[in-house]
Amino acid sequence: MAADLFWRFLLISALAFGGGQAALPLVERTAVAEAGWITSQDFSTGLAFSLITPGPVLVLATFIGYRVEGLAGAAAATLGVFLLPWALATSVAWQLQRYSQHPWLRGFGRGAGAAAIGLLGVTAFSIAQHAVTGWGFAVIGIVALLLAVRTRLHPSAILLGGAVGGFALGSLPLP
Amino acid sequence: MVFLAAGYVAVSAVPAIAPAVQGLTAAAAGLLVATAYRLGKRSITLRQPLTVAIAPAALLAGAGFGVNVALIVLAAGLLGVLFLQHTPAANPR
Repeated sequence: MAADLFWRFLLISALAFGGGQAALPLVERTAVAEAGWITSQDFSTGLAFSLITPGPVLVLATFIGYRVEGLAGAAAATLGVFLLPWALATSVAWQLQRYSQHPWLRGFGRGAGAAAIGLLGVTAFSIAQHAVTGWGFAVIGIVALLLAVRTRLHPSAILLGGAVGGFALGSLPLP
Repeated sequence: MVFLAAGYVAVSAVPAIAPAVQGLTAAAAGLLVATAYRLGKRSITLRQPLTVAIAPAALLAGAGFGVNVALIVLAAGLLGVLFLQHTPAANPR
């Protein structure tokens, strides 16, 4: 299982054009839909943790790895997702500079980046369908969207607000 | 992150926590849509119409047809190699 975690996250990091957040659909589809390692709820919680902890958002891999196979899984997933970016970052500077502007790589990035945007919609829908079970939770999602787009509020504050809102909804007396 | 993951395992079984996690998940969905919007403003442009087509095509392929996400990204990347290598002029004459 640790090997599977390593190789799948290595593949994810190889396709993470557009940055860590653009790779989230790859992580979600892999971890939730394809491998079935975690649930959508687990993914959302892991995403929330990755946004509030220092460092890149793909530290989400550590959370997923831990959920799958404890410390060994966390180590394997973390190594897989960060090995390639680390290797590229430590390449000889002139080689990196030479290839990073290659037209093929630029073109690939543009195409993959556009696809990642569409796939973010898939991921958002996938986690929303389990969470938005009524108007109250729909309002939470919409408010979070508006706050993220229109304000400079940190994502962790928005997520915390969502959790508080959800807790409040759960505390409401049933009719 | 390992400590957070371990803590989550411990508290997620508590019934009172479930609505909070559900609210967190709903907010996360909203954040993901916002991320798509922000990235889209940067990456999708009418000056490169193919990028306008790729995003919804990827959404359809992933959500509607269940195509493997890695394949979608690879295919879109290859399209980019073929047709999106060069930046179009800002004000074509």
